[in-house]
Amino acid sequence: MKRKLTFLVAGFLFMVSAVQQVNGQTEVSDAASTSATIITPIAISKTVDLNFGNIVAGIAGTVTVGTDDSRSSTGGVTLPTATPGTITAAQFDVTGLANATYSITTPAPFNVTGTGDPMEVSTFVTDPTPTGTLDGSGAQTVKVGATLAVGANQTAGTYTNADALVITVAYN
Amino acid sequence: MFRNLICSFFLLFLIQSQASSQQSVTAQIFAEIIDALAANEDEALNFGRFTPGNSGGAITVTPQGLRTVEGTVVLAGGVYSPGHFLVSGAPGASFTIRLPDDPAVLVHWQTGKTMQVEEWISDPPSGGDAVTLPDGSRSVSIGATIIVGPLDENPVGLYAGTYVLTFAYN
Repeated sequence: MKRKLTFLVAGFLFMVSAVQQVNGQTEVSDAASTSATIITPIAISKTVDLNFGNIVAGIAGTVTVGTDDSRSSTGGVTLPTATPGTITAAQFDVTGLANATYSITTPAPFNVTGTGDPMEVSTFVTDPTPTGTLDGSGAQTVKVGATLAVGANQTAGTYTNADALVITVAYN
Repeated sequence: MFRNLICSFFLLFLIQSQASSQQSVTAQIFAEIIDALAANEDEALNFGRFTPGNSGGAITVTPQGLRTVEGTVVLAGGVYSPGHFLVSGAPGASFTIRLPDDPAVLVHWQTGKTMQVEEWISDPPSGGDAVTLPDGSRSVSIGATIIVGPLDENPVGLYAGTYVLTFAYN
């Protein structure tokens, strides 16, 4: 009779301790890593202005400077070849994160002003287009050409615009 | 609640970094309009007065103003001149001179008889060589040779005609 009791008590004690261990396993914690990388902001600087060169007054038409610094005309506008003046596409240096791609935004048409009637500059073309990719050292050169509308008997002189040719670049 | 606070803080940080990932720059733009080329004749090409003689011949007036004859033509006194033009345009620019491709025909005012003017020559020279406008203007002189027939082909009187010169920026 005494033996039976002891056995029962021992069994009960064992069971109680086992239940307590199960309760300890319902909370789990772990550590996950987080990271953030600050990247070089994109930057753009101008190295060459946009120059259409010498254009003879008289017949109306257009003059186009390409991204390869070439020049052409339509409508019979005369472009002197012996004294062409300075002809350059606008040129910009873009810097930022290596191998990143970025968008290039050209402005809406605007006027150059001078001694005579204003002339409209439009149809901007860029190289690269429509986006650029920075090289392994985070740099790229962007060239911009455009088309100038010349009026009939345009008054001779220098026509310019100092603040309308705005180029915007953004990571994309 | 703490978790929500961390999330909104991260979002704010993200928005701010996007605003500084765009950059703009301004370039200047230039175009130079230059005066169209213009030419004014200030002296007409004039072979002057002469008689053909028995068989005619030719008279040459050089751009420098020298007059010579061939054949039986006899020169008389009076005015003669090469053609003189003043070409104007953009200072520092250059242009080419193109002489007439064909002879000019001078017509007798009464009878309709003709004499031909040919062998055009200019000073400065024509063709591909560029002529400069150092201060925006340049004088051009034109000479030529007139073929004179005997008197029955070319009676006495005034013969007149026109010729075309082309000046072009190059």
